[in-house]
Amino acid sequence: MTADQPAPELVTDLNHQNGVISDEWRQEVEIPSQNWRRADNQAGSNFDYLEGEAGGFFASVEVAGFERRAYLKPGKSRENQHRLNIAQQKARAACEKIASDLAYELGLPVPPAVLSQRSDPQDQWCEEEVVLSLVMYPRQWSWAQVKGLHGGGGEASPKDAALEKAFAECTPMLAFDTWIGQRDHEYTRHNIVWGYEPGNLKRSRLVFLDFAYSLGSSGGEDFDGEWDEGGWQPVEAAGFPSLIEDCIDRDELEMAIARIEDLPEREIRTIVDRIPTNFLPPWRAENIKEGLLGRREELRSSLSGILSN
Amino acid sequence: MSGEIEYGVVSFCPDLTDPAARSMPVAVIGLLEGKSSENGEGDGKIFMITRADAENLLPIEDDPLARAILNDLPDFLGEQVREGLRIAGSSGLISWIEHSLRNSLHISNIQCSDVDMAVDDHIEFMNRMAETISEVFDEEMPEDPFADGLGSRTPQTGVPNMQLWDPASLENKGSARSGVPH
Repeated sequence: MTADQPAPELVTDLNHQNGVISDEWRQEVEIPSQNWRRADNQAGSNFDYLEGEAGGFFASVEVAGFERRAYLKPGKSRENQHRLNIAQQKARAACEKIASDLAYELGLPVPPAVLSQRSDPQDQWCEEEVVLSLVMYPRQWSWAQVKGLHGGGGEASPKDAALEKAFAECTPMLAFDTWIGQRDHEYTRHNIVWGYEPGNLKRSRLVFLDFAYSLGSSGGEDFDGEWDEGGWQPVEAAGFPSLIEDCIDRDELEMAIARIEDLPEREIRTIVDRIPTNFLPPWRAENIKEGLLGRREELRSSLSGILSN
Repeated sequence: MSGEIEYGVVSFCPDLTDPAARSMPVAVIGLLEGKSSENGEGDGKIFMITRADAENLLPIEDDPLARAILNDLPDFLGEQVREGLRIAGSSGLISWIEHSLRNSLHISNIQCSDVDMAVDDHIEFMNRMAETISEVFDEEMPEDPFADGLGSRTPQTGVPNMQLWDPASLENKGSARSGVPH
């Protein structure tokens, strides 16, 4: 850098940093495997990282000049070719990326995500196609703990005020989860987290994680192609934890539905079509596009009961 | 009497966005069981022991919520234990808690091993159990986990809090509380 060149802007505000990374990963589809490595800090991963339905671990990833922590999945060996084939049909990584990109367009609290290839799968039955989801906040509390933190019968505290604001801001996610057929947020212990920057509790947010069971993929042992041949119907309101449901704002819900309805069809198609075929088989890409476009036509009527309450 | 101990170490991570951040152990939750070699009958307890100085050791001055939770850790984790016992029972408790604590507060380590519980009666069993839990606590809770220059703070002060539950009586909300010499 010469003397007359301006110094690069020093970005210290976490929200701004998150915004820069969100913009970059919305543009990117896939990053090289050299851009990440397994992180020293594995706080919050399963003790045995191969446990869980998908398996995964935390990675250290360099993005936009920052070294940040992201959750990488799936990481689990599928044990044989048959199970690996099923896993590839489920296309967990692609579903996460599509959900994240759609959420970005709608300004929703879903972490930015980017695809990558594993160069170090543990065995031949491990998916090489993975997704990295950014860890958004230095402090995060799992939903299982948030439930216990709320209220308590005493005077309203700054914590309760922050939480209730965070609950109220979740209304648009009900429309989003309903649209994309997400069913893994109702009885969750850790797929919703409450995150914030220390010293800035007022700007806390609930962040919604894990979209592997959405877009026509279920959690069963087999891939049942739920969105095949019009199987995306019927469109039913997504389940939400009751604490959040109690804070649903009808006007906010109405606006969220309108934003989804206003998303250009071309944008939706592009978000799906740009996923490489090794991450998402073409027939599934077609099903997902058909499902997304069909379901949004019925989104308003599927939520009419809540809108009219 | 043969015995087995399974426990999880609860740790706090000061910055989940930092790939190199280090967590500090703040509590141990476990199940300690002993079985008689004669008739196979056994006795067991769920235990939880929390360090008293976590709030002072961690860099959380600007986070009143984390301070409050760590200051109230026995009650906060105790609620998790009771819910885990109700839902998963004693055999599934540690795994249940591991899956519930996945963020700033998380399980950083799980251990399962045989322990010597060669005792003659219930009183001796209880004493041996207290010794074992105390040994686990000493092993898993370093005096100052950031003592290598990464933010050494106030040395360990205060008496750790220990709670015991009888896994056979999940509806029993009472818990024996006692200080454990450290």
